[in-house]
This record gives sequence, structure tokens and C-alpha cells, in this order.
Amino acid sequence: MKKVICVKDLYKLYRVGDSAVRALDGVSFDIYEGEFCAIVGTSGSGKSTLLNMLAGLEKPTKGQIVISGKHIENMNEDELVRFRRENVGFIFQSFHLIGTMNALENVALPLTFRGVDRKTRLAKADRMLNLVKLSKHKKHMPNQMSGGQQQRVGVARALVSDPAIIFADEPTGNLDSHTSEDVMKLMQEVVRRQKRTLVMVTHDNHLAEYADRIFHIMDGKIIKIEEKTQKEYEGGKTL
Amino acid sequence: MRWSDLLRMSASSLKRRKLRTFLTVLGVVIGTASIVVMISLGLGLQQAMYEQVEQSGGTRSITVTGKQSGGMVYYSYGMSGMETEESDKYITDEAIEELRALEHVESAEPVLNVQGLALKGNYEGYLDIYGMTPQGLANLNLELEPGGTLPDPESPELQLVFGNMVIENFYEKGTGRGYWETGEYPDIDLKNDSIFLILDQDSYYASQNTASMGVSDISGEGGDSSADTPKTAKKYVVNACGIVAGGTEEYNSSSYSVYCDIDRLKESLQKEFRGRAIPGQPTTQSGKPYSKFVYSSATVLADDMNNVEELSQTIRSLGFDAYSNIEYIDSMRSQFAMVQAVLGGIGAVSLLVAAIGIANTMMMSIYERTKEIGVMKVIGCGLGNIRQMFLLEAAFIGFIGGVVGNLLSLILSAVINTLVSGENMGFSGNISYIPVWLVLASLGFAVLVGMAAGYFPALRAMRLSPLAAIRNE
Repeated sequence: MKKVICVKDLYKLYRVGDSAVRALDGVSFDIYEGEFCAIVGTSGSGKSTLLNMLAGLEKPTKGQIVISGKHIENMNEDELVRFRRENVGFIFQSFHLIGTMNALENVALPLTFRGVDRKTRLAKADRMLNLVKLSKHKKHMPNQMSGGQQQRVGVARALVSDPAIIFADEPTGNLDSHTSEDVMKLMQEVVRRQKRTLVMVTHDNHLAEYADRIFHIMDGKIIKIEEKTQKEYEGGKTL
Repeated sequence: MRWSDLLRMSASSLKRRKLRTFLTVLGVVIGTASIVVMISLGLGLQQAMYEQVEQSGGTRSITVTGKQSGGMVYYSYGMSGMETEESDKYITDEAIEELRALEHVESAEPVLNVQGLALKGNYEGYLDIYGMTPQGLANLNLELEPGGTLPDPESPELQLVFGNMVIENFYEKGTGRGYWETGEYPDIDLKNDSIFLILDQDSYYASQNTASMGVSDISGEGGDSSADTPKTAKKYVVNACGIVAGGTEEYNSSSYSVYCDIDRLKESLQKEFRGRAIPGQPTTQSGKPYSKFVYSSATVLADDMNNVEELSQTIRSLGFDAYSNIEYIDSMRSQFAMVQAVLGGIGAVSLLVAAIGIANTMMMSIYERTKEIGVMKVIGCGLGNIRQMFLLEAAFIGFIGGVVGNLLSLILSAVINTLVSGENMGFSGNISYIPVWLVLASLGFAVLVGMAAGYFPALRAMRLSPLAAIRNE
């Protein structure tokens, strides 16, 4: 299988006063195309730092990150923005929809940044909203929607530009458990159907169960990689 | 990102904060309006100056004088002292032809200036008579009182056009008291009364003197003028064909002048002074009149205001003296430029304050939208696009402010012009004048100021870390 993300000896040191804190302490792993990976750890374990670095929002102190064959650790900010625009979708914990735009426009926003014309991008956004089962709320403003609905818009926005990888940072952190299940199922289904690579960060072991592989991280090190075979998954579903 | 999308996003974020946008725009409105109104006052003054110059001979005319003939001091308004060196050529018909042949010359017309004495009843007065060609008179753009016409060159009589204040030159023959002493206008209707004109003043006074003294001493000294028999000065009956408009109140450059046709004046002079030298005409060393008729000056009209300077130089190099209003205009123009700069500067202060307001608003807006900007960066909005978005927002504020400010200043200008009419200020025309270029320039300036004020906030927005967005507080 094709490697989409390849991380080698990744270190991130923060200086706190006189002492250095190792947020990431020599992390190496690969993520393959079409995989749904979860990074699980307690708060302060370095899981968010890892995700930020994968998305090019933070620079590593040392190490290599190769995504879709490109080294992103040496890119400048302009290149990183372009890289994200072309390759990455992002799902946030607190949704981060633009308050002045309705659901449709919010979903179309990444296409706007790509310079896609209005008609095309709205048509695409429309399809995405249907995909996340929000066909009735297309003209709603974010503040007229529930958290779950907003996060569905967020998912649609992450998918709209056909990215190779989708990053999700605690996507259900602001949702109640019932809605969380819904959103997780939706994400799982969409990712599987569209053959996307999804990297999700969470502190919830239960939610991590939806993933194909689970990276357990503690004190900046990956302590365990839990692999669930396709068969297990299929079995789980039939149960 | 497409420009239409950038515009849409900038406009919508301005719409989101209506009150704040309104207040910021208001600052720009006041700034723009104060600049435009201030400069319009300066331009109004300048406009009035040009109109005045236009009245006093125009911006394109050059007065050319030749060698000064003895006995007569040439009179010219303005600052003719620029070139004091004596010119060496007379203004003759040949000289006029020479001037006409020059480049950029639209017309060159001779002017003959003589002093005459006018008699009417108990009054007499000196007239400053300008003999001019029909073309020259037409170029003066004289505004005549209704019913008046310019002298008819075909008429055998000498027809005069009186300046509107010529009447002040008349005084009572016996007492010598005139308008300047009594404050009363002489009882003469220049328009309808025929008056006697005496061109040969020397003979007239000589005969006056002999008339009074000759009775007692007829064979003695025989008058103080000369040894030859005093010739009685001929009195010409002349009629006015027109009076310069304006009445006795309003001064213009023609107020104290009398105009007539140059050929008639020449004929009259030649008839009057047959065989003798006409005063003002140069004489040969033996006292005989010069073979050619010499004019006092010539008025050259350049084809364009910008060629006046060059043409003056050419004429000077030919050996004439040339004077034009252009020097006056140039000095006035630099003065007005200064006045406008000062007025515009005062207005600019308020626009500067508005610019600070814009910068402040943009800063606030960026602080508010830190998260939004971060999210945009994370989901792929280019750094340049973010900067453009905020610059556009600031430019929008400037643009709206500029448009409204210009509308406001057009209204203000109209109000000023109706309330304070230019007549009261001592010049004609409007005191506030807004040309199209001022509108466009101020609009452009407002947009520029907006963008300049928004530049650093926009840079700041561009440099915001996208991490700030995905931190969950």
C-alpha cells in the first residue's frame, strides 16, 4: 500500500523557563492511503503537537515529515498554505465555521481559496452537504444550527476540496456523546466510501475504536500501535 | 482567490459591523470634504484672478513697444520695468507686418495712444485716446452698455468709445474743480452729448493765452509758445458710439480709456499737424517729421497661453520691448499654489485623523477575527489573499468616505456660493470652485489613505499564526 504520511525521528522541544520540555521525543511512523488512524493520548502527551506538525502548523525541532512525497518540515509559510490548500482537509474541535456565511458558503470556502468560480463551488458544496445528510440546512447560518449539525458542515468543508488527507482535532470534543457517535459514524463511513486518509486526534479510547489503527502516545513517544484488521471490523459490524 | 470573491468577503465583513464602519467612514467623509472645500476656495480665488487677467488684456496678449519717441512718456499698466533697456526700433506698419509673420502669432494690431482735450460746455477734460484697428478693438472684448457699438471704421467722423469712468476726468474750466474735488459728477451725458475734441493742445493753450494777453500786447512777445503765428487749434465735434459697461462704480482696465478707430485718428492727427511734427511722433534731428508713421505700441495675440513666454522672447530679440500678463500670472500662480497648499494642508490634517481612525478600526477588526483568520489559513487561504482582503476593506472605507465626502463638499460648495456671493468679496465669480480633477484626485487620495492606513493591520493579519485558531479556549 502507498505511504501517504511518513514520519521519521520527529522531535519537538519547548523551552519552558530554563528547562526544555520534550513534547515529541523521537516519533516515527507511516500512514497508508485510505487508512483511518487515531492518535490517542492524555492531555499533554504531545498528540496535538504531532497533529499540528503533520498539518504544517508548527515546525518540528528535528526530524522529517513526508506527506504525499513532499518534505513539509522545510517549507515556508506560503508553501505550507499552498500545501494545505491542495492536500489537506481540516476538522476542528470547535467547528470554526465563518459566522457571516451560511452552511453552503462555509463548505465552499476552501474552493473559494482555490479560485474556483462561484457556480461550480456551490454545486460541489451542495453535493457535500447532501453527503453529510444536511440537505435541509443549506441556507442556515452557523448560529442557527446545533453542534452536531455544525460539525457535519465542518466535515463537508474538509471533504469538499478532495484532499488526500483529512486531519481531525478532537472532532467530537464539543459534542455530547450521542451526537459524537453520529459524527464518528458519519466520518467513518465517508472516509471509507471515498477512500480518504483520516488522521484523528482524541483522548477518548472509545472513539478511537472507530479507527483502523490506533497510535497510543504518552510523553511524546508512541508506546503502542493497535491494529484492527479489516476482518475484525467487518465482524464488529455484523455483531 | 478571485477578485470578485475578495471583494465580496471584504464587503460582507464591513457590513457585519455597520456602526463601526459608519463611524470610520464618517471620519473619512469629514477629512475628504474639508480638503476638497479648502482647495475649492483656493481654486475659486485663482479662477477669479484669471477672469480679472482676462479683463485686463487677457492671458494671451503681449504689448509690444518700440523705441520711445521724444516728448512723450509711454504709459503702460502693470510692470513694464522688466526690460528697461531701450529698444531700437519704432512700431511702424512694417514692424506690424514683421510681428504678424512670427510663429504663434494670431494677430498683431497697432495701437496709437494720444492725449486729447475734450470740451463740453463749461467743462474740459483730458482724454487718454487709444486708436485701434477694428480687430484690435474686438480683441479687447469690451463690454459696452446696451445700445453702444464699436467705432465704425467706415465712418468719416471720429467715433469714440468712452471708458465708464472717463467722466471723472472732466473739471470746470474756470475753477479747475472736478469730480475729485467736489465729489459730484460733471453734468455731461457722454453717451448722447457731442463734445469738442482738441488734439493740438499746445496751439489751443497758446491761442488761449494770446486771447487773454494779446489784447494788451498784440505785437510784443506774441505768446509764449513760439515765434511763428499761433495756429488756432481745430475743434472736432465728436460723438460717442459706445460707453464701457459698468457705470461709475465698477473699475476695469478700460475705465479711464477712450477708444477710437486708428485710421480716423491718424487722419485727424495728420490733418491737424500738417507740415509739422505730430506730438509723440519721432522727429529727425532737424525737427522734421519722420518719414513713416509710428505707433505707440502693438498688441500681439499669441495662439496659446503657453507660447506667450517664448513669443515675448522672440519679440525682444527682434529689438522691441514686450510685456505680457504672463509674468504677473506666473507670480500669482505660484502664490495661489502656496495658498492652496496651506488650505489643502489644513484639510489634510483631518484626513490624517481619519486615517488613524481607519488603522484603529482595522486593528480592532483583526483582533476580533484572529480565529477566523487562523481558520482561513489552516483551510488554505493564501497569505497574499488575507492581506488583500484587509487592504480592500480599508480601501472600501476610503472609497465610500471619498464618494460621500465629495458629495458633501459639492453641497457645501453650492451653499457657500449662494450665501457668500463673490461680488461682496471684491471679485466676480464663485468663491468655491470644484473642478472634475479635484473630485477624482480627492477620491483617489481617500482610497490611497485608506489603504495606507490599512497596510500595517493587513500585514499583521497576514502574519497571525494559524495555530491560534485551532487552540481551543
